[in-house]
Amino acid sequence: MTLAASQFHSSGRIRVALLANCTVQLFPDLLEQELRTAGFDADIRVAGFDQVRQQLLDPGSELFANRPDAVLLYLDGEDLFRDCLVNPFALDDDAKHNLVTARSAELRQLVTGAGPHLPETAFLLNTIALPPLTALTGLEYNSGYSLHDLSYAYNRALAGLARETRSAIVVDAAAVMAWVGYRQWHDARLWYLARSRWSRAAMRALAGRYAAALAAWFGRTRKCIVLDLDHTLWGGIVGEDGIAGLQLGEEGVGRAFVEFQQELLNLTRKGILLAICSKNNPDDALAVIRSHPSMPLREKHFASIRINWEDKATNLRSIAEELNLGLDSLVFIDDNPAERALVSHALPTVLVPAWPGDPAEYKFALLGLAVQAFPKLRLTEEDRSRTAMYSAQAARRTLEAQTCSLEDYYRSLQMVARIGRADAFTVPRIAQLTQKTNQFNLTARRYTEAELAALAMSSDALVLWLELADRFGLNGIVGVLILRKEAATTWRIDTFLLSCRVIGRTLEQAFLAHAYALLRGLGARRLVAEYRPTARNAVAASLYANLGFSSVPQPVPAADATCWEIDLTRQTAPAPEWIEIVPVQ
Amino acid sequence: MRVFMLNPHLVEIVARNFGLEPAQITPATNADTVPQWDSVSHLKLILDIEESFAVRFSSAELGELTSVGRIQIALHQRAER
Repeated sequence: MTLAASQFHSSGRIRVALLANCTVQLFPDLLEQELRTAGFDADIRVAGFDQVRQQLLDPGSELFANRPDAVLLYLDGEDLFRDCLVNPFALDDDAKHNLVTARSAELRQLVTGAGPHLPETAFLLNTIALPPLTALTGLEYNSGYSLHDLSYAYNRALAGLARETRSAIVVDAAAVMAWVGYRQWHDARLWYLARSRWSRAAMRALAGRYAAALAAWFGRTRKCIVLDLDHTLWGGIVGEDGIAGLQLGEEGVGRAFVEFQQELLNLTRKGILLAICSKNNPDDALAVIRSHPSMPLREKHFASIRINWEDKATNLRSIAEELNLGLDSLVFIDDNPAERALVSHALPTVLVPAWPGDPAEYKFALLGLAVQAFPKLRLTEEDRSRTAMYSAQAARRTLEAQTCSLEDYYRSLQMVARIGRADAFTVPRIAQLTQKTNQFNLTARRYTEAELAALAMSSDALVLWLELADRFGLNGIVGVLILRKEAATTWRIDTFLLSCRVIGRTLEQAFLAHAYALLRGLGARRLVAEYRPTARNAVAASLYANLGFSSVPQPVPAADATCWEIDLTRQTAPAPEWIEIVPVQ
Repeated sequence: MRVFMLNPHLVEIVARNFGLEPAQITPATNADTVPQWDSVSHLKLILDIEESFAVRFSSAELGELTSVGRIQIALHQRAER
């Protein structure tokens, strides 16, 4: 979470200052609309015409007094380099170089100068493009004369500024212009009558891009894209046309589905999760995903798969639950308007974009959607590892499906569990697990780092962590066991939890077996435990019964907990042979 | 003065732009009688009308279309072309 995100109020209220070197009076209405669509309630203040320097260089200016969350500083290329456009033959290379250097240095000075006064404010800068039709058309690239040198060098300087300054964000206005097209971007009437560099269409497109940049800055992005299969990931209906009859591959519109999938794959590279929600016979659909030669996407790319005949709203709810995401983190793509209507009616917080009927439009529909729903300014290590983590999870699922017996499956995972006592390095993660784990958590006791650090120092307690690796990679610390000495030879399981990612892999047996050995070494003869039911931990209700504990009466009959004990002087269940335990000193 | 029916869609756009009731709007409603009708809101109004009716006025018309009646006539001429 970025600093800005943690301070962002859930109300979505933000203060925006708009500064420009051209007239922008027609813009705030559209900006406000686009920001509202993105979930912001924006108070937009517009500085007077060309007040950029006055507002940013004067610490007593209105701009600083208002403490905006974001400063939109729009500098138009045609204004920055007006003289060059009036006579593009006048400047030699050195003069142009000096001009660009001066302009970008001035911008850098404005942003880095204002930054300390507004330490939490995002500064949104823009790339520039010069008109694609000028007196140099034809000469450009062929002669020594050039205008594009200017925009190219200026934009490169912007990129340098954004890399050095965390609060500086570049909005690629030049790309928006290219996408809209200059003839739609530029409204000559508005330029001559109002000194506006933008048409209505330009303002709308640019406002959308500013809204996306702010959504990314404030962490307001969705996390998972849920896809239908027939007519969405591929052309045709697998249940009727068969695998060989699908449109998917080099032939004709089959290529559109391939390229659509390639862009979905690129989303996973940015840390966006993919999921499937489709009405099919699972065997038919999985056969395509696993074996169609032209599928860029495979099972490992999907974090969650629901292929069944249940209604899609129910399936979306269950996908959200499985991935531990809110419904407002989901985007749902389906070619069928009836399914879209059902989902957007039943689950209004799921984003259900209108979807083109023609598969040829899919790729750019997705890319446009991604800008709006999954905006990113920078990629973090977390973004990159998210994909790996979920694909490993998917690979485990595949393996589970392929291996015939459960024991074979466990064995094939090649699990190695490292178990150690809490120290300064592991306490933060242990605290996080006690606070976040709801399902496999026998007592649901929540601990802060300070409490755990104190407990770990005590000679009457053992705070143990378990870190799991398997053939697909490292899962990190996924288990916690806190044992407290209750009497000379009696210990109690205070906390026992496993992350939901590793439930169902017999780790609990291995973890306890290791704990028994440690306790025996400390002279323990009896271990007592309790299960305290919560709204979400039913999965662990019969754990102690299954692991050989005997039920004992509750000390407090009113409580709904069940109490258990095991005699450590007798033989206890060993660790499963398929998990290698490595004690860490 | 010639009396004619105003296009209800046009009336709605004008009313929305200036915060007026549709019933208040007549062909004579113009930049002089509506205080909010300044140069910036004039351009917003014209751009809204262009988008809604899928028309484009010339830069000369942009300066001249400063009453609801004139706008309606300009729209009417476009429809006849």
